[in-house]
Amino acid sequence: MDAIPNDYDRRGVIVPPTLEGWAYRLRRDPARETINHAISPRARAAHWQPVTREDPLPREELLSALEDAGVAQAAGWAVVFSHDHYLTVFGGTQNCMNDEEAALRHAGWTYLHFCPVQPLPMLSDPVPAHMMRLVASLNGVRLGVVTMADVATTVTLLGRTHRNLTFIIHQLLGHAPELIAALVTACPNAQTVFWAHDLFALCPSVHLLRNDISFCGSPPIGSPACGICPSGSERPGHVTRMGAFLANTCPTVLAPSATILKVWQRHTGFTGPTRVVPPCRVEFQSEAAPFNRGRPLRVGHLGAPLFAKGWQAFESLARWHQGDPRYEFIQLGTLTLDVPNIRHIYTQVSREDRHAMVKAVIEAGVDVAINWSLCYESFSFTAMEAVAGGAFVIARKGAGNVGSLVTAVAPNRACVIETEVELQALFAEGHILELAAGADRRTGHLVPSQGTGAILLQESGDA
Amino acid sequence: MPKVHCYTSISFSYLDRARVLAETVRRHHPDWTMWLLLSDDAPPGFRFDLAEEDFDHVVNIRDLGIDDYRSWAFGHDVVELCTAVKGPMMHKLLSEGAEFVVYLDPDIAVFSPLDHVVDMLGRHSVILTPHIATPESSLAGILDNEIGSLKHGVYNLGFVAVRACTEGKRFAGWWRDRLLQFCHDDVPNGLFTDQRWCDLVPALFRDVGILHNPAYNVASWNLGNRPITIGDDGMIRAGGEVLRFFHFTKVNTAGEGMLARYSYGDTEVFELLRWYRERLSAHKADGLPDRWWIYGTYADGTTIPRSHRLTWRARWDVRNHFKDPFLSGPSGYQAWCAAEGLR
Repeated sequence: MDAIPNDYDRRGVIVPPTLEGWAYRLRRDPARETINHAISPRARAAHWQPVTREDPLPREELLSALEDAGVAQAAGWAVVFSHDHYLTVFGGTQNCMNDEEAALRHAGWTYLHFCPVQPLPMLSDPVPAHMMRLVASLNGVRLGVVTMADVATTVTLLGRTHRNLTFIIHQLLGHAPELIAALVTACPNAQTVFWAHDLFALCPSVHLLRNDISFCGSPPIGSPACGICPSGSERPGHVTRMGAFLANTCPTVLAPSATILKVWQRHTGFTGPTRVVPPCRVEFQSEAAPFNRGRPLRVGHLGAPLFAKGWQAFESLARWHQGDPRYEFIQLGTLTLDVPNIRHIYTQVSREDRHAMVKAVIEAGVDVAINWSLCYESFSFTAMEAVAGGAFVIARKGAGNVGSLVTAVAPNRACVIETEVELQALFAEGHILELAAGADRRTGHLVPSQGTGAILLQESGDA
Repeated sequence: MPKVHCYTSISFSYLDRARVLAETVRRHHPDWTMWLLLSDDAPPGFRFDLAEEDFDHVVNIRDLGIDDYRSWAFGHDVVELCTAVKGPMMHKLLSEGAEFVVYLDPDIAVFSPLDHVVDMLGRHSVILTPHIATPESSLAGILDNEIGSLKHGVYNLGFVAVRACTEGKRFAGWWRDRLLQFCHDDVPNGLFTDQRWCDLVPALFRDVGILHNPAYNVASWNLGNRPITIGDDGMIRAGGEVLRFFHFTKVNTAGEGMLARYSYGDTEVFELLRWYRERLSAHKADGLPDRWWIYGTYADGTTIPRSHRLTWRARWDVRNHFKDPFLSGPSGYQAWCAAEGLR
């Protein structure tokens, strides 16, 4: 018998050209590679560069900028901390902040934001306030670099007399929480809002991905599981510092979903006030286009082709069903890995076009979106985009909020399954065709919430 | 509670592994006395300071009372030699008054207290762990693990524990004697270092305990029937039991492939492996030449071929003639082997 010529694509995937539709296997194992490359947050931090080399502004300049902006006369004053520059970096948390800023400024508030000059995948080690450098932005305009010492002096000076000062903590990555807590406690009339966008309060591994591969569920500190995770050695000190921050600032905790809030509360032991504030909702059209049985079922992966976002499960399906006339596989995002049997549609969601993904899903006629995230998602914008795009969503049971989100938002257009074997069976046996055909196919558009703005304005009667 | 003495056996090339073992034993049994048995000498310039190690004592092969130990050592490769000295060391510790002695291979890491071992030592003279404790159900499993056990020994001698009772001491004396003569990797002739010998132990000695608990001595050869899981409670389990110790055999060669074969797509075992490699890196023996072993080369630095060692241990006349087999030069054993065409 003649040998079957094997070929290999550039990622080492065995591609048997004469055996289209056969199972494929990688010569390498992406899961093992992910594990093998897992390193501690501290080791990762060693390669991170500061975002700017600018010298700090004089304290007087910060003070006069705030006075010029009319902080003292503003209806309210939000002093906001997060890990990066929400005006130039795009993402879920940054979306929330943009919406929050828009709502608050519309109501006459002043919005002052700080992020660390030195980004880190962990908390900053404790440093003196004059050593902690931050990028300051005021009402959507970047001011420059300031020191935490000057921030503390300035905000305390103006904040002591301000009738409506609120500290909003979106993310503490890269910050020294002790310095922020000292600022908060120096302004006794202020209130504090702490966002649980993720599980950073529980571990430097923000998504609690043990060895970058498995959701760990926040086991006891010092457990054997922490012992084999690169984040484990940092965790005791981290949790102590985060716990002290919450105890000293007495915040109201907001979370994008009840799912993440429940996990966050259970493991932090936090007993203060909490609220769930979803970052967006879907408004559906009243009519839906009929299901098109005259073409292959279009199956989509929304967003970056990342292992942690379940790309491997999607790619496996696409390769398995190469040559199968029932299915067509589409990836929507900016990056492509050029995999056979997957059509890439360039889609870039930006501050200017927040609805780009929803529009792309509708235009491509995606019938089914596979959301196979390995992370414990706190909300899942991609799931919402798929739903708004009219797609049926297949979610992984362990992916945090994804399952409960899609079944709550669109009960007749999602299924939640546990294992990749079940996923493969759904397609191999064709059951997904029946599910998609019988699903609610209405499209819609995403309506952003006002984030913290909604809560603060409601409280102050400005809504 | 009797004092437990725990030892491992290495050449300097396995110092990183021995350090990980000692670190993990210390974590769970800080009261145990740790011994390092070295069949090696440090290379020039390499600094080994016991005060900086997790071991309490170091014993060198030359301190084991083996007659003409250099000549005897020459007849073994590094694995055979580091295995052969386990017997004399066990005997030495028991003779010197140790009540409980535990041997652990250097490529083992302890994940939680070895309570079952300590408990069993109160009732048994010798404790052994079988390579497999569940019948295999696949052809690959039968070939790799059941037939593998028939070839290489029913029990894995990465672990053995002995109580200083009459039977325990009798075992130690017998094991020492056999290993001094026949600790050879010679599977066709029924020998595989110290392991095949211990197939006889339950028959030759009384009160031998077989530790079937799946959490002890987990390795590629039994992983298929003892899947590793990591729970939300933070506990690592093997076959549903809290993992006690894992045997990272040949992790940088064939071992990882065998772990992949028997993990059936699960990834937890590779998390253990990542951690283990990280610890090896942290405990690297800085300044040690690659593949260093003082008994691995002739005096001129040439690697000693296995054929030279086999001839040495087979030919009493040759051993009688050449007093120091490691010497190079025209009248040495090395030159004789070359003249005889041994490669």
